Amino acid sequence: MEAARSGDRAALDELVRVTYTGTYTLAYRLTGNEDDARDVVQEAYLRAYRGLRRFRGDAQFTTWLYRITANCSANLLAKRARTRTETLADDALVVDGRAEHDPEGRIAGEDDRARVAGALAVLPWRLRQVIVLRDIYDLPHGSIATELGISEAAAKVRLHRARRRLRELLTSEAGAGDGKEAVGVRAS
Amino acid sequence: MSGLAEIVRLRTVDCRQAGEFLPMLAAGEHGSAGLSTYGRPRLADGRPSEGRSTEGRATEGRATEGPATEGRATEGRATEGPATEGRASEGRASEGRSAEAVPEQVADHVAQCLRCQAEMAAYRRILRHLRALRHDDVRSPPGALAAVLAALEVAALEDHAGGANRALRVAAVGGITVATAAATTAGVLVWMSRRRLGLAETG
Repeated sequence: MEAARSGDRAALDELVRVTYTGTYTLAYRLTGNEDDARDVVQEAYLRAYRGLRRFRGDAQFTTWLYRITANCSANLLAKRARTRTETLADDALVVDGRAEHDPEGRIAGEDDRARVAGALAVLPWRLRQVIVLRDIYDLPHGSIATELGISEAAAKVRLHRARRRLRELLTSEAGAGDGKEAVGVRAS
Repeated sequence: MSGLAEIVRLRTVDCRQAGEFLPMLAAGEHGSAGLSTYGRPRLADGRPSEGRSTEGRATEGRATEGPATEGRATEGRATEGPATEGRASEGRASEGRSAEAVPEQVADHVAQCLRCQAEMAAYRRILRHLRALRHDDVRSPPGALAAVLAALEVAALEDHAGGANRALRVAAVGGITVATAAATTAGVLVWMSRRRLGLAETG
């Protein structure tokens, strides 16, 4: 880390290699698709590279990098939402056309975690972002609010809505008729 | 029969109210600022007051009910029911206090209601699965890492080139400054020597 900060290219490359998978995973979960995740990750590393000297080291490098990634993702998705003619309301029912999330096409024995991940992937992006950052990556509310450019109160309300929406999605998915109970209501 | 209907109605209302708090309760955030303004009312001397604030305006120490709305509620105004994004003046209606944020009647209801307990357990299970996702890496497409490294290489080269250009600019400016100073000095010396010569000739 110190070597990378002092401009050692090999150390920087190694730092990227070590953190790449985690960063890509976060970007993918935030954006919901490969192409956007690639763009977000590249932008995040470039920004991290330019800001590396300012990184004080009072947080873990990955935490700092994840915050940058969240910010890049929020910027990308917000920009796209502004330019898109067809907007998607947060409360609109989103139909996921991908085969891996199609209840009929799901392979037997798919575990609950995969179902949660599938439901997460079809959440509207504004809701998905907060739930990914808080409930998966455990970022503090304040950091989430900062990186998403909203107030802390707004971030918490959005999180509340996201959790409820995720629960509804899982329940409705279970009710869609594959015989399984929802993740949430199945006995442990 | 009407008594039974009333019990069912009350129970449904309780479950609906409690349902608003279940995600927070499941996440252990029942007292977190921002999501709950449903606190136990307290009088100025700190004693809990009875009932809930249903007035349009609540002064400090009075309760507001329900999770905070994002954008709408203004400071001191009671908000009732679940949060609605986009309507509360942010950060104000959201200062829940940890142990007091969830009203006692909701906590009591959840403690007795199997349906709410099951729902809360469902939320807990979802949260557990979400946390577990942290360790599920998504495989990146081939070439993605190489592209990042190449982009960083380009950025480093640009920085280097920028640094070299800056050095060249500094050297050029320095050279011009030195040359100007030398020329000025030479000019002054020539002028002084000519002046001295002129004075000698007149003398």
